[in-house]
Amino acid sequence: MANETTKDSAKAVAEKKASERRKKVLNIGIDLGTSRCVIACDNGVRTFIPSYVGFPKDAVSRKMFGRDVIFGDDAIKHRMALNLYRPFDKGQLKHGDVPDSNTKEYKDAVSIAKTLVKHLKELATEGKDTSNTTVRAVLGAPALASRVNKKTLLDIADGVLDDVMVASEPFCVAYGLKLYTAALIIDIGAGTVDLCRMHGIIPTEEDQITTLNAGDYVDKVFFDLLKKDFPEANFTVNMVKKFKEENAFITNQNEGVFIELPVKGKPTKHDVSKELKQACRAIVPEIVEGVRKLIATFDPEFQDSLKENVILAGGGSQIIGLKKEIEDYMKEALGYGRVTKVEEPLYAGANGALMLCRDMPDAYWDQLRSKESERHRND
Amino acid sequence: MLGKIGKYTAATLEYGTLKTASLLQKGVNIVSGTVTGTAFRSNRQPDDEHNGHNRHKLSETLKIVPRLTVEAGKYTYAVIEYAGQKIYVFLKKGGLSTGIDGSKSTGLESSLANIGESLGNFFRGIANLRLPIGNNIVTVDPQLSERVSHIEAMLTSARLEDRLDGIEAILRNIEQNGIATTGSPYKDIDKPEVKDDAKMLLASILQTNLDLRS
Repeated sequence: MANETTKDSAKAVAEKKASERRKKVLNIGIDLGTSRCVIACDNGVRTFIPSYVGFPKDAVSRKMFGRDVIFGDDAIKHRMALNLYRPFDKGQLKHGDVPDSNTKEYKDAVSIAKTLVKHLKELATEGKDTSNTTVRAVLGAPALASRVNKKTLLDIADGVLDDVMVASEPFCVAYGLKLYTAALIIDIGAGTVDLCRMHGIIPTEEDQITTLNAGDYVDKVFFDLLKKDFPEANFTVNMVKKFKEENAFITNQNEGVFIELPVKGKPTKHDVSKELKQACRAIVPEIVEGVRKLIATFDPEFQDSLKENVILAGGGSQIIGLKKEIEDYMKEALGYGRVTKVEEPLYAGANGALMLCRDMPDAYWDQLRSKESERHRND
Repeated sequence: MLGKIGKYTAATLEYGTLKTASLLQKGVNIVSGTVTGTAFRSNRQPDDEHNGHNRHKLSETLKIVPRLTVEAGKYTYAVIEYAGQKIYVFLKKGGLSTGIDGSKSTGLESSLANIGESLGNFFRGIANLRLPIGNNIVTVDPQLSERVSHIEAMLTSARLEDRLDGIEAILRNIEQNGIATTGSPYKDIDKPEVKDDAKMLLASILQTNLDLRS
């Protein structure tokens, strides 16, 4: 009798495993950015949304939207009627480093970020039923994200995605480009600039540098300069951010760059080339210092190949003239340097995360799932 | 915008203000008339405003009508840019009659990355010179000739011919075997072959993630 029960139990487990195997798998690479969330999936869906989540302020706005939560551009557009949140800051969850994860503040922040991840999953699955699908994802994290922050990312994905791994964002970029060795990745986001040298192994702390003067910092500097130089003009950070994204440059071009800003209600053109250039330059010193440090501390025999292979990724890599600026600096400080911009700066991280997700053997995912179950049991 | 330079015919197409496409045909002549070509949908669509997101799916295409007619050539080539943030590169054997189908082109992206950059510069060069739009073949003035020589030299140095030969081999393979990366969601796709160096990295990533759950 006991033998039969054991046999039945084993059979049930085997059937469950077989059923899992029969499930289709959807792989997603996710870049949870301070400014934008980007996904790349192996069903062909690739998209991004600004990292904003908005909740209607009252019954009237709830009625107007016909929804309980608004995302991305829509949320920014209707921000007056919404309680608007940007869950990530400096490349990590806001309040992600609070010592006690039982605080209301932390739980609220996780809940908002979870809502955003759910929305990304809906975009990835195109709203289709996923009950017979295993949704796997690799989440990109800042290069030097703390253990607490990485665990926070797992908490956010918990219950939304079936299997999740976290990987360093610049490593994802390198993996996507198949640059496993002798490459230096510079990933310029809104919250952080991540530098990472690849030399055939998973980058350690010594191989990575994260600086906090990134895209948002450029916006702030630009905003402050405009306030100082054009005190009569009315504008918001959001307005100058949008303008910066379309016009950012640090070259010595002679053409003026004009922005139309209201002065006493009347749209007025302002030449902001000087301010924009100065703001964009603000992030360069830390980047080039990081490049110098990572190259100078690398094995001298391989420094040349590292100099040959500096890769510029992320939205900030679109600043016109940045590539040349870094190359000029490397020539002056290091003798030589060749910088290459990735083909798809916005998607480079998510693409790499997707490749990681797809390449990861099923057995690895099984191990992870067992460990995750164990963690839940202990909790 | 239309131009004929040496053995290349180039055209840039605009749809709204958000998207530009560039077409290049090798060894073809421009003739007058208007035909329908195929370009790719922008990742910002009117209905997206309601949904609150921008999305782009490679398999969906948008028909546009460029003012361009070409005789059948060896390749049709397209580059799509969106607000300077995203570039897709597509190449298809044959002339416009073949059309370029985004859903059949995703597998080519990475292999065409470098060539895309070279040709992207090529098209930017043409745009800066403001070649006239119209049905006539463009007359190249001396200043333009100089620029054209530079472009020709650039294309030669990019070893375009060699790369196209290589790409042709890939295309042949795709035509014979199809593309594995598109189609309906959740399609069963065999796990890709992972090289040993990548396997080590994957094992390390796994270990890091197991540690995170300890």
